[in-house]
Amino acid sequence: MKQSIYTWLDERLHFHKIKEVVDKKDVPIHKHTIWYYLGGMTLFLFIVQFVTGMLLLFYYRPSAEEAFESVQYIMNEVYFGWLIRSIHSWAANVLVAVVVLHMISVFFMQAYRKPRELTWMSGVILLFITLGFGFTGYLLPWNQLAYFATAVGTEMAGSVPFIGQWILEFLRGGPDITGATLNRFFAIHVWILPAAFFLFVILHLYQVQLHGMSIPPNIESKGSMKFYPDFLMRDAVGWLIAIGILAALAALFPWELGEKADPFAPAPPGIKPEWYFMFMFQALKVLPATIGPIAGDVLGVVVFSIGALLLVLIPLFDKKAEHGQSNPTLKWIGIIVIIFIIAMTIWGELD
Amino acid sequence: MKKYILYLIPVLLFCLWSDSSYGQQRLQQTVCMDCHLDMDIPEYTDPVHEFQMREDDRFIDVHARAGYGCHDCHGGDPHDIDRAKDTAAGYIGKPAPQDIPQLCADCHSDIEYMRDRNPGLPTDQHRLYRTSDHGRALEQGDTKVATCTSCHDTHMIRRGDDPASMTYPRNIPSMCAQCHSDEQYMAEYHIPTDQFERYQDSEHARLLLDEGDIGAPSCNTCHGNHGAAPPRVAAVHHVCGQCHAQHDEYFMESTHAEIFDMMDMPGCATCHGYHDIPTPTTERLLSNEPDSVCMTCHVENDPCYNYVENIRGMFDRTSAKLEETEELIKRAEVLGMGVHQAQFNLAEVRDHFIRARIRVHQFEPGPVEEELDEAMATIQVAYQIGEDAIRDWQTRRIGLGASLVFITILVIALIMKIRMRGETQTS
Repeated sequence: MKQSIYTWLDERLHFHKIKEVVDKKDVPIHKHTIWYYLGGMTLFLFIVQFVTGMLLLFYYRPSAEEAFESVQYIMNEVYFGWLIRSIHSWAANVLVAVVVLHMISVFFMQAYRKPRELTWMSGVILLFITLGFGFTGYLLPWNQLAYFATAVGTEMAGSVPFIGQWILEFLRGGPDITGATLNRFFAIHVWILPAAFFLFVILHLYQVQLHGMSIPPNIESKGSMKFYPDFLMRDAVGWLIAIGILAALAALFPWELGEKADPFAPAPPGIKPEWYFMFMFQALKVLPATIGPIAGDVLGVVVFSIGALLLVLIPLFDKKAEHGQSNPTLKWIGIIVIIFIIAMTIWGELD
Repeated sequence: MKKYILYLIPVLLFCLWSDSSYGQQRLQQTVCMDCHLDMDIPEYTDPVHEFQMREDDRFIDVHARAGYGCHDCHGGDPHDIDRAKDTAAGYIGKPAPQDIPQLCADCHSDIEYMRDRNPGLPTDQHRLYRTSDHGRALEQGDTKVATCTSCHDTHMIRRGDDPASMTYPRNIPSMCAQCHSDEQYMAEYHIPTDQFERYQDSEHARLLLDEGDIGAPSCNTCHGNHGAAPPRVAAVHHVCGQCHAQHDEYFMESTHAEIFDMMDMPGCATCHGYHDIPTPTTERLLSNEPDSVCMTCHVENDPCYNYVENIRGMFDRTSAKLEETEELIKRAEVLGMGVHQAQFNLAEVRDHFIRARIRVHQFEPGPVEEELDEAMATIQVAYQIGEDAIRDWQTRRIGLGASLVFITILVIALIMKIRMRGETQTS
């Protein structure tokens, strides 16, 4: 019976061809193989986010009048609602950390070199999409902290030269943060970003499948293992541990809801963005009001924007990597940038 | 095209001119100021400096800001040095204290004049002032009493809602105290001078001066503004009733009102005091202790003694249960549990408490017990929610433990499977 169903489906969907591809797929073994697992972990956490996000959508109501109350209802009344929401919030934070680690590992292993330039570029864009998910999702509970943190965040976007004001009003749906902002953040969070995500993740995975895993230059491979089942089983160990950690975080430290956003209330003290935006926030904060003829925050935003563009384009100007050579200059720039981000984040959190 | 641009120039100049404040123009052009500032004698220069003083690029003085000049109060011709002090031009010089209220009233009591200039201001200040103790004494020739300028200043009159103004609610007690707490100055009037000192110990002062609640009473709330006079004994409850309306209504319907009236005792002040009105606690105001307010008149084992004993017991039991429930709810909240409904219930309990304390003024069995019974029933509901939340939290931990055990078993099984395949699958 089972065989006949499989045969029936295989005749129509050509499962055997997928199986052929999977059977052929090998993962190289060397001293840096462990970093490969971060890709699978990222994808797994995205799946967690999609599943929990869809469940939250059953109850969440995206309006200034009802958003807070609906999240309150999810936390207090919906069966396991507290668990779903807390996992969604915690996984969002863990996801950002894992995506960043995945990118750092790929950067230092120079896995972006020819012919994997598009894998890197789509990956960096996926990081930006992840940050977009975090930024838009943070406002959705419509609580006091989220409200004012979003005000600060959108103001940062407003510092972009020439089109800053337009971006600010586009994001906010007007000059201020209102129900219109919540509506468009919701639309971006549950439709536009997921659509963009699927587009780029398909490109990313297709590239990975096409070119296989990259072995870093000057590293000797000790052989390879089958993607299925060997690599996948090891991946699954990581996923199970991640699920355990997320469940523990959700049960022991349920994500707080705080107080409902009140646009007329004074901003609560210590308004800070999410930790992954902290380095930008702190850097803009400590910049002098003007640097030469340019406003400090404008210059800061321009530098960060150029930095983001350069990050996407790394494979195009690392010619050494193209020839299979290590690039110490780029490596040191990367280390300095990482130290800068960590230092600014710590400074911002302690400030 | 050029022609139109030329037309625009006078318009532009007019706009630029009209942008500078009208008051500023007037101040710069009067001869009064030119002479006074040249004199270099503080008595003559200070008023001008004060009148010209600016804050945030605006005149501090409300009259200067509105475009008035020296001559509007002092008379004379402000543009002709020869007629500046001419009585034929209305010059009156420095008005005597007894003339000040009428001088101000010339404008401020003119309903039509004020309607065009500041329709929000009342126009009955002078009429009220004449009924006040200050006004009566002034009419009898006592020039030491307060007139308009004593409280509002002379040449630097600020708006009443300016926190730096002497008449801003938080500044009123200290302003009145300038005279009323000066023993030497008040000696001839034979009235106490400790009102401000006593007021500072009161619940009203705590709210107004310490917490900055400008709705809390200061001197003028009870004594009146321009018609300031101490309330008579029979009128005290009306004064307190301005804010404590429900207390007053219940009190006036109670047996106490009739008895106090017979004994010529002031309504609220008999139990709550005046000026140094303390925070109304059940310990002080609902007690059978020998030094309590009730026992000033009541005796042991009279019907009221037993009534107080009963409702005080209810208050204490309900307060204790409320405190216990608040702690429980706080604990659940700290653990991350949703206890909003319970917090809402506790807010309702606090409302019952407030109502119970107000209904004490009915001085009869029934109403207070009713409120406290409802409070206790609501506390029980909140307590139950708190207990359920703590239980839920424990269940979550057990659930977490069980799921972690399950995950650990799966991980171990996978690792064993990997080890079994291990070497054979690498090449």
